[in-house]
Amino acid sequence: MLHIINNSSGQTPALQSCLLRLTAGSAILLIENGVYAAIKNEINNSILSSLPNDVSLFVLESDLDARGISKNEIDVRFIPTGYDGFVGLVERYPTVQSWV
Amino acid sequence: MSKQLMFVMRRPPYGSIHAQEMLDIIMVSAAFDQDVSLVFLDDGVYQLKNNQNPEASQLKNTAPIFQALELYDVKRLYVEAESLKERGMRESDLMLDVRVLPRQEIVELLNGGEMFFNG
Repeated sequence: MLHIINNSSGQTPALQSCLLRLTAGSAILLIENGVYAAIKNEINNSILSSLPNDVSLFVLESDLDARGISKNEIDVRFIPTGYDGFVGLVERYPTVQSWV
Repeated sequence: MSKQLMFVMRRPPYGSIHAQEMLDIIMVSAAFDQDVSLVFLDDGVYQLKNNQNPEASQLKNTAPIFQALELYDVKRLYVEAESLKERGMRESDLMLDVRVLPRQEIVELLNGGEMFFNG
């Protein structure tokens, strides 16, 4: 399953809620204000400490760029991806859940 | 009669109309010579982050509005140190000259406010 997060952790606890319910082999894609969760910092380290093994992490590049977040600010576990990659993820995972 | 207006910015810059609306109220207040202070807490500190490029995603860039605030005599901008630190940010990551204050001093500042706008 592909899980999409579009809010920051300061706005809603969607990412924390999603992390509690992940299964191995699934993926998380951060978009819009969700991309703030990819930054290397105290808040995100704490949230991602409950990340299970074997979960792939992606973050939408254009939303990082809009918010002034450079590639070297993000956690190495996140793979930056473009809209083509977004489409590829939707193809690869048979189901998609948006944690709005 | 002028009141001490406190604008408490807690949301990231895009994804909702809040940050934009707050800036509109701030500009109007300043145009009417009100005593305006801006306080950036939590995700609100992202509003001042350098190098934003929202136009590429068809979003409105708020940076020019922040930069125009000084012309409107809005000079009291405060950022909570803890909010910056938790997000891995420093004062040098911000687009404007602001006063970075520890949480305790932010609390005292807020206690001196007479009217609040939170968004």
